Amino acid sequence: MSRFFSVLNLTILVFFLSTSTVVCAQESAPKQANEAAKEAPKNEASSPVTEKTSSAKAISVAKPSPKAEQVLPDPKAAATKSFDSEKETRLESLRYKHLWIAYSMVWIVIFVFIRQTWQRSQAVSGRLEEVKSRLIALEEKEK
Amino acid sequence: MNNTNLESQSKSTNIPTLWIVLGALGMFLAHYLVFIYAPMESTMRAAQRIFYFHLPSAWLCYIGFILCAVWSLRYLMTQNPKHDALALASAEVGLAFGVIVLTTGPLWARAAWGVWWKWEPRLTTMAILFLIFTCYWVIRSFGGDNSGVRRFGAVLAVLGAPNIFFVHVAVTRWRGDHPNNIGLEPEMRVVLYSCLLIFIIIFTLLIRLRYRVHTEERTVSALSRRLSRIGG
Repeated sequence: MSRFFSVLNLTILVFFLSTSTVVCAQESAPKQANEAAKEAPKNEASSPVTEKTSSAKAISVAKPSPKAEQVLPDPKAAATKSFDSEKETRLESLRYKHLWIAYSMVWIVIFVFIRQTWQRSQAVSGRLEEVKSRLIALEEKEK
Repeated sequence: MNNTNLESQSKSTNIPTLWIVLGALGMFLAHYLVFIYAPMESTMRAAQRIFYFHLPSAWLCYIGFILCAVWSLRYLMTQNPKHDALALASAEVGLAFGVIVLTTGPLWARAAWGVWWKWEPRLTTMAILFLIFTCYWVIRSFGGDNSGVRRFGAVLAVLGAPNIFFVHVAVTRWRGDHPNNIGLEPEMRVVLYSCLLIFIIIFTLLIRLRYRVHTEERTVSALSRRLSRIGG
């Protein structure tokens, strides 16, 4: 029975670690995407062009003259640009996160494998010594 | 079996200290090469650095399974338990590297393709190969230690290993999304081959460690049988 557990040791640990890291990464990715999606309409709504108001002054702000349109940068394009840069930042952080998870997975697998082998080796060496000494004692008794 | 026999057996499976030192130094070197020396790739950026672990692990996974098939074939021909122990050790180490491939792969795919997994030829054949050798390992670990189980495992390894060919040609024959023959910068090439060399050292060390454990386990079971026959 003890051998059963020692053999499963490596599998359970590796699959637990890999599943948990993958789930953590997966959980964080949609959260970031949702936050970005929520922020995008907010930015659009708060911009002077799309703001809905009844005052004449506000309307004049919302609908600028054709001259002003030429001078001012297109707010929609600016919003898209900021959204794109946010998306790029998110993607960059995702890339680094995945690199670190992958990197740690490599060494976790190798170290768990070495540790499991080492533990099994220690247990077998102990049993070997015990059996050897019993055999030698028996052989001496026979002589 | 007398003392001299046992001592000579333990000496033949000793792990050289130089190999362990090389493996440990190699790990530090791999850190430096992958994170500092390797240039940043323009399209995939940081995620591309996963490639330096992913590709050597995939190659060593193949080598582990090929070695398992070769030793299994030799075991079927000679019935020498040493060949069987080597086959089992190779399969176990191959599977460990397979776990690395199948965990780093999806992490890279999510960053590059936007999905964790695609049922495309390379990934599917690799998953099948991994499952075949997982079956081999499960049979060998839980099937008990008798000649029937050993022979069954050996046949499974011999029949399962040709799938490596299909994994290898999957990209060129069936055209999937998995990249193939990537043009690398000279610095990237240096990092890749250095990582491969370091992983080969670790791979050899792991096989020797595992082989020693299996040999010692067989010695213990043989001695225990002898003891029970004598009546100790």
